[in-house]
Amino acid sequence: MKNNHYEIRFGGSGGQGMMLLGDIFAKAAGELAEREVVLTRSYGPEARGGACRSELISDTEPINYPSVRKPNFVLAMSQLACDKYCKDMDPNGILLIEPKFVHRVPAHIKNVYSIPMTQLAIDETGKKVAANVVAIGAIAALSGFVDVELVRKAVQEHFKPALRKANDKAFDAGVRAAREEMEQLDQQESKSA
Amino acid sequence: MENTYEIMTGNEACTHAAIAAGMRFFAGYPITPATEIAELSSEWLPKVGGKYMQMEDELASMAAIIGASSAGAKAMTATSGPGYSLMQENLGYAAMAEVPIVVAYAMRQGPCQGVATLPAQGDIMQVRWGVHGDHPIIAVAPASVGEVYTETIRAFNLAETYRVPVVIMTDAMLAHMSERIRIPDSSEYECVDRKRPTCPPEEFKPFADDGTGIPPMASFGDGYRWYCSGLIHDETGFPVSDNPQLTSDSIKRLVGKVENNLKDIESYEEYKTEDAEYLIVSIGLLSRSVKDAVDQARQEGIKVGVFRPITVWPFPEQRLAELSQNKRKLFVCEMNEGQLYHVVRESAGVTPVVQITQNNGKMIAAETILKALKEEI
Repeated sequence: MKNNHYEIRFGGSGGQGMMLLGDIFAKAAGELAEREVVLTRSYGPEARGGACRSELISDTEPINYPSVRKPNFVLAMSQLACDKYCKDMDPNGILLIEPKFVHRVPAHIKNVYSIPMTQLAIDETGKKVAANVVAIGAIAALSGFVDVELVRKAVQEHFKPALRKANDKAFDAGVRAAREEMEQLDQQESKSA
Repeated sequence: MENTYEIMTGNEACTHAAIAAGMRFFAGYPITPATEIAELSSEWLPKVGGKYMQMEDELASMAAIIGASSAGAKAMTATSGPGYSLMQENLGYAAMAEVPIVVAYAMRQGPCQGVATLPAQGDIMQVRWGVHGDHPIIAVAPASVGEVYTETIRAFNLAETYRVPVVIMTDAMLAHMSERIRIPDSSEYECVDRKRPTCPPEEFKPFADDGTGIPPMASFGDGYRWYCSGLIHDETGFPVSDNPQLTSDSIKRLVGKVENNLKDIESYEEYKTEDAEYLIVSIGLLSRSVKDAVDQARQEGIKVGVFRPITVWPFPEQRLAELSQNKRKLFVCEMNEGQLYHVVRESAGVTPVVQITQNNGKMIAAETILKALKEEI
């Protein structure tokens, strides 16, 4: 797989905003970073409950096969999503989980990040509905496949201006938490080395 | 020229382009995976002075767009397998009465209700022969959201030029997936309007051949009287049932509108065919998976290329026949039990033709195609 080819899957339950995550990252990578993007989504009753997902491929070259086959990044916002959507992951890929809902992760995945996105959303904005914006910030920082500031811009442009302050706070909380997690992991790795 | 890029789904691109091409009337009945075209038309058409009509079923949808087009509007409906089945009788009427219409057709899996949310290519033959009797029809099969845009514009232009029904064939995946596409500037394409009569109304013969095979078309309400019939008719449009010569001539002219203009209508893509010893024929979104397989095969030294008809109907037989001549084998990759396969065999001459099919609602992966290819060479 080429280095500039990035596959990402956003998995959760219907209503957690997984379709929105796809839209935001497609906007950041496609419209703002001017890359090729293909976005596919769950369609049908699962979008209203059960496990649902949206999937994004980003590349500097034209994308032929439109489905994600070996995701470099998986977000699991629910246990069902985690059980269902990690099987085909790149072994060096990143799994981000919401610890409030995900209690078991597959053993074969090494890079697991656990960030309490729902709690951070409540702490920062008073609303758990902002958990997906925390997730956007965290994914932007952890994945690095598109510039964090372009992702922030995509969030800002998507929502009405009245929500900007709250979304910025949620987004920053996600970025911060992701960077802290990465630092901790680095330290652990250097100790063990 | 300023380049405008947007991220949109296949269904969004189809609606957007239809309006850009001049669509001002849409009638439809929602059906997965084509529903968004109706939904967006209902939102966007009134803003450009167009009309959206929610119909009680697909029979009425087809009837309504024929009526609107007869009154001069560029009109479209959108549907999928079960809905397209219901449209057939009136679709034949559009072909017979030579009323330009466009049908956006997002293919889904299986016969009858099948699986509404999964893509397939099981309706290739239905698009050609769903209507009874010999009739002209044009069908285009775009491979990307960007091409949905440009082919939708072309579909309207072809319908207006030749006064035939034109079908835009996508599938459940292409209809619903989003891609970053370049929106062409209106200066980059032409919007064709049907040829109008120039004679005084009292001299107007609505189905008289002016030498091109495509009679000028008047709109209901603009002063020209014409009789619009699905029966075999003479120049005036009135039914004739006891004239074998006229019957034969009428059908030959109808079918000839497409058959005599293949050069203008046909379009296809050739990918790495110059030095190819093997050729894979594939249409629509699936052809992109085939391209991946071809790239991988070439890395292993297998000289293979892709022939992708963009107009599925008329099928670019002559070009495929030329390409087939020096090939060791042809492959047909399609998401059905074998439909395009039979058409390809007609063009292949003595070159053997091998099927690569998968019919489970999933896009065929490049690896599967490559494996099937290697087993046969």
